[in-house]
Amino acid sequence: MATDVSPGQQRALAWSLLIAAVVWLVPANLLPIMAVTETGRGKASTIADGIWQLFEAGMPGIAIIVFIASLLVPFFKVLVLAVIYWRVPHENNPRISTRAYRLVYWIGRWSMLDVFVVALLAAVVEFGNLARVEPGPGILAFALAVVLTMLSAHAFSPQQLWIQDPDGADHGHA
Amino acid sequence: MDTPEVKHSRWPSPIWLVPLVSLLVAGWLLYDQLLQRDVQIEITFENGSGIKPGVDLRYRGVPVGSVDEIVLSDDLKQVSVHASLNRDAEKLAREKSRFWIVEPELGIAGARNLDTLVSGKYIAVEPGEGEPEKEFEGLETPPEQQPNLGLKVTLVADHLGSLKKGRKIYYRDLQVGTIGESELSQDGRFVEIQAIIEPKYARLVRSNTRFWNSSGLTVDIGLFKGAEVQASSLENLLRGGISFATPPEAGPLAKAGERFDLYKQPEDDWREWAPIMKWK
Repeated sequence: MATDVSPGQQRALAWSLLIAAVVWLVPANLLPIMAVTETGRGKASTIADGIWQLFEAGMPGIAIIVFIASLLVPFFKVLVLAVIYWRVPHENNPRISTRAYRLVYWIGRWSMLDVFVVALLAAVVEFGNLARVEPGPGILAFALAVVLTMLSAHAFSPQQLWIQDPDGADHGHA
Repeated sequence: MDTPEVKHSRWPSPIWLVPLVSLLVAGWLLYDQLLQRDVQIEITFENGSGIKPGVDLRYRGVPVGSVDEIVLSDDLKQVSVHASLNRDAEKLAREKSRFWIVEPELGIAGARNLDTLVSGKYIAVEPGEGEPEKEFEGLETPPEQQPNLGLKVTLVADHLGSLKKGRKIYYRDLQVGTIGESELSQDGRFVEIQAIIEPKYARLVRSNTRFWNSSGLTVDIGLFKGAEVQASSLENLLRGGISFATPPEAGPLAKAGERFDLYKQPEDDWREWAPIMKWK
């Protein structure tokens, strides 16, 4: 983050990006992320559909992994970031907050996994009418949510957590 | 709550456009995808052979939807086909829309829908009038062979011969109707054949109209005139059909369900009958 930006503006940017990410999480989970066409039989599935299909196919292990990676983690990240941002002006335990922030920042780079999987499947599974995978609108929303979350985390600088008596007074915090 | 606000400026920072635009676009996307999703319809058939998930719904030969799943009805007497119609084809799902399964027809007199041999069967739809509807009763035969429409009269014959259901009825060799179900008369002496005349040609049938079996050849060999062969049309010859003619003094319009004798062959002058009947 550029240093000539005030902490308040920095936080405003982080917040706005985070809110945008939350907005995009809704269609990401409600809309189909990909449509699989097998021998002419098409089926569009959302993230939850996919997890349920894995579960029904007798792969509870993978189902749980996908559930955690694709459903829980995005929400978890957003939630943790929101809590961190919110606590900044009156942070009393900067160590834990910084750890949480670093964790979220670190997970960020793995979050596009779903998008890569869909992109890969769409490119590889292309056998005309036999089998075809087409990306759905949900994956676009998912990718946007992930990118916005990462940008938000990036816009925020954890140094703010360590400012002892924050000049939060001039940000309207009484 | 300490949501950051930029107080130094009169206007909120342009940063807040990001969530705002996101909200608008995501909302539109959700609306577009969820509220205007494909139209789900349900069609029941007596027999669903050849229909499986993924089979097309077609209108005028163009795919307008596909079958999602097929379930048996509770009483096991029907199959109900759940299908989704594309959004732009939504108007096809009206009260009087008709759905039927298109399958290949092979016969000595002709072949139809041969493409379905390769591509598999599909469900054809013909739009109808009325309110939007979600549940439909599928037709068992294509509408052009549908016995439901038109003037129904009963023809009484000694033998059914080759006059099976679906064969055609001709007026001056022009196809104007279809043969429907046949059954034995109550006393067992005759066969009663249902003849369905298309509505627009119904006026051609009068109370004194003569029907005859125009299947096959009429061969008349005489010592002096040589051989005379008569057949109404080649298709008729191969498949069997019924022709009719109305005498010049056309009687009153035939009523639905009226009974007529079916003659084995026309009398000589029947073919020359040409009454003026406004059929439109």
